Amino acid sequence: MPSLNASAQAQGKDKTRVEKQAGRLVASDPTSPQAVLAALEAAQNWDQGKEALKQIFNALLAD
Amino acid sequence: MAYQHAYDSASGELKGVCAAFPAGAEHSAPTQEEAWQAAGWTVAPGPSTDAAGQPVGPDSHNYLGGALAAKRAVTLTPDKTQIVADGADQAVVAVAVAGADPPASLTLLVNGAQEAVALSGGAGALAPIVAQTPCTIAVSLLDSITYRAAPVVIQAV
Repeated sequence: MPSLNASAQAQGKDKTRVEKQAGRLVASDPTSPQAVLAALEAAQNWDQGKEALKQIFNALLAD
Repeated sequence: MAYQHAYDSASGELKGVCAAFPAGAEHSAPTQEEAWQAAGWTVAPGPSTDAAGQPVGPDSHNYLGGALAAKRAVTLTPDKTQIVADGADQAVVAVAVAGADPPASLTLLVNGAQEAVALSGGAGALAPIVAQTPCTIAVSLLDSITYRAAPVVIQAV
């Protein structure tokens, strides 16, 4: 059984978002382990953390 | 051997090429030509290779203007295919359109997002690509009927 990280990275390949910022194309995968950790670290309280987790799992499960 | 082409007369997109079903031969299932006609596509006899000897197919040819023509070749050349996902390391994809009278701009798809590239003399470059997290970035052409190009994949690690 693949690890959660491996699954997230595999699924994340199709979830890359690209935005134009200051003349550059900025790509990011909201389901990558780095983005997940950043979202959780940015949470100021339990409710924000819970909301971040909901968004992460929704993004992982959406197809 | 005779061949049949199927194309969308509205968009000019070549949908397929197949060997012609022998006239008068009995068949219980619909032929490929009949299936294409049922899909609303125009079916007409055509060659399996073009005047330059290149195989004719949906990836390489179109029916823009109602006549078989080779798609215009576009080259997408990244300066690197792997970047560091730090928001700073960047890749630049050069765009070159072959042939005379190139367009003034070309629209590319960057993971589905449309991005116009201005061309000068058929050459230009996509805005620099950076990544904030590890991900895969695919760059391809929006208009795949008129043009053909091998897609580019940039890996952010």
